[in-house]
Amino acid sequence: MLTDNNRIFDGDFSWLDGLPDREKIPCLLAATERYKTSPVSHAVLLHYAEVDDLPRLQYPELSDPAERKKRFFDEYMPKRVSKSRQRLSDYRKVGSITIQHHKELMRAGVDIFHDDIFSNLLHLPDALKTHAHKTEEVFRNVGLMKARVFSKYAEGALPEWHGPLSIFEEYLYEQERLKSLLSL
Amino acid sequence: MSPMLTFNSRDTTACRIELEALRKDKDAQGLFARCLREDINAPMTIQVMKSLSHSWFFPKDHGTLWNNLSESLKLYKRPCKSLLFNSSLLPGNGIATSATTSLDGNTFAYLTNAAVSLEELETRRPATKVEYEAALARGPDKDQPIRINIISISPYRIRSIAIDPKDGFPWGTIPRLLGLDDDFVYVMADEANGRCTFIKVPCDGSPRSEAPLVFNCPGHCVHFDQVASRLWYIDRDTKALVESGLDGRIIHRSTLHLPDDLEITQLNELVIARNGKSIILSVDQHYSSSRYVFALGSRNKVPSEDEAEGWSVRWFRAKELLGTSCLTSCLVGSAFDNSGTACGGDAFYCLDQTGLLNIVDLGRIEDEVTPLADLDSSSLLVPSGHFGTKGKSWATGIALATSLPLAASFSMETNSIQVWDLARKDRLFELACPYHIDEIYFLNDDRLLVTVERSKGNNHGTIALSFLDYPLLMGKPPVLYNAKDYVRLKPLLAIAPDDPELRILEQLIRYFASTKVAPSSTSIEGKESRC
Repeated sequence: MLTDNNRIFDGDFSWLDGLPDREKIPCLLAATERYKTSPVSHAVLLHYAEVDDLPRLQYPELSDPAERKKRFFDEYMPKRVSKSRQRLSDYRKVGSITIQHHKELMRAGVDIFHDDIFSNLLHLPDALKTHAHKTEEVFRNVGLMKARVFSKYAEGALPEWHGPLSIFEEYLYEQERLKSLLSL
Repeated sequence: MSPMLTFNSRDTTACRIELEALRKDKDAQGLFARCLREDINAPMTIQVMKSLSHSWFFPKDHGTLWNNLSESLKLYKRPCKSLLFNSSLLPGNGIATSATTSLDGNTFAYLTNAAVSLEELETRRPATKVEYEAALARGPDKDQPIRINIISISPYRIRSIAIDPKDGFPWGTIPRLLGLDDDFVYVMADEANGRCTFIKVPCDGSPRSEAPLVFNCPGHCVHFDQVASRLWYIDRDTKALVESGLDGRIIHRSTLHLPDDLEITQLNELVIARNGKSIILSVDQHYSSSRYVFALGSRNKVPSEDEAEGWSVRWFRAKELLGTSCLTSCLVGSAFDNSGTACGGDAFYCLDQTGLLNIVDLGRIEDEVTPLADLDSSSLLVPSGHFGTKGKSWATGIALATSLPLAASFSMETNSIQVWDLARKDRLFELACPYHIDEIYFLNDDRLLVTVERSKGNNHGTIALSFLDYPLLMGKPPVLYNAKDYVRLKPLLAIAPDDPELRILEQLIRYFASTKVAPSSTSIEGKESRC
């Protein structure tokens, strides 16, 4: 299942994104273990533990490659794993919030898995943490990233939403709206 | 280099001295009351209030306003520049070799050599600053087909049509857009030897059906009349003024009698009145040694047998014109009277070498009474505004608004875009601009100003949008704000919702539009209410 685990050493865990939520942490741990023990990946390990800069930069005081390798797996990797655990829990929170609003959004023609909205949400873990109690704030932030019209929709200020608008379109839209308001 | 704002051409030195005196006296109440008088515009008011917001000051009057403003004033740092010369709002790469608008100002088109590929125009986000700079540095891409991006304002719609260079224009020519309507974009390609190719490109991207119209003509002496579907040009070989249909059929041809010491290659621009009865023909400024500045012509009332007698033309010399030695740009538009209503007739709007806008009212030429030769040449050009600069402004753009009596031009001397009030025959305001603006267009009921900038030595430049509502609001004294100004401000808030300056303006407008302030003796209501 894991085809490109070398990326673990670069701190890149994006291969986890394709997995179902519940499998992510076990897969990550298994991959780390496999790297510690597997003879197949020894060449890669040696490369990272002896030649490459990563462990050397982490533990410059250690001259022995074996020691460096051990410390690398004992200290560096657990840190990375806990960091990625944190990230996963953020993902879950975003997921649950989005799913709460999913039906409402779908009704308005917003596909949360489209239009980069979901990936935008994923880049906002801090906003989520601060505003966990008020989801519309989060949507507002997302909206600011794409188009403010969407945020207006998320706040309930717009009855319908027909897709992302550029700022220029918003200007024209606002102008039209005012015109129609004044003619009434 | 960021654009500076100078709103309103009125002299504010006296007000500034007065404010400074109050500031030195530490008279906060007086300062606050003074900055809400009718001769001080919004930026100065905001500046004064910002300085007061640092102290423990609380005004005797307008306490609610002060309370509302206090938050925004703390955040305020500098004017919102994204509303002037914003180059990232139009879709596409925004790098144009030529641009044009439709007659109603609702559709805008620009021709780009596709320095950024625009295959997916509909889904493309506006280019970032870095992308712009990269694309500009790269210059036109010879392998890419030439593209025309068409942007309709209401309803908002964007299209992009490609023109295959093999099929479109002769090799080595620089195409430029002449006009645009619902069905066609009209493109002209100039060759170095004066040969011009005129092409109608269907807006829906379907292949062209008509063969291009090819003729030989000096410089920019082609006038395209979109309403009448006419193309006027000066034939280089026969020295004749030719009126032609868009299919190449020649409707009228008459010999142009040039003065002895004027070559046909020295002519710069040809403009025909919309009723086809008058022409203006300017002489290229690089030949300013020639004594002639421009020629006015009118169609002879009685159609004569001899075709050569079709037009009577009078050439004007520099010494007859009291200082005007060349016209850099001419346009034809409706004539306006002093109250700002269209008179029904046409007028030529000519930019002279000092950047001053001159108006030639065609009503005087076209009436039957005075023959062209008897016209008083010194009063023919009516200048707008009362100032003149010494320097010369070479090729600059000029644009006329579609519905309001407004014109815009770029002056190289002051490096600013000047917006002219054609009714008052005066300058409304100027926007200082660090770029060299080559083409200017009004869009969207004259609320947007599109400028095409040219860098030195390039034939392509970036397109920028300016929101005219912003300088109009800023040029107005806050006490004169009314409900109409709120309509003007609201769409701007969609562009910069978090900008403190716009928030301050919103508070000021909300407050003064609902509060009746006792009118003072120096009312300039009439001056600002028109636009």
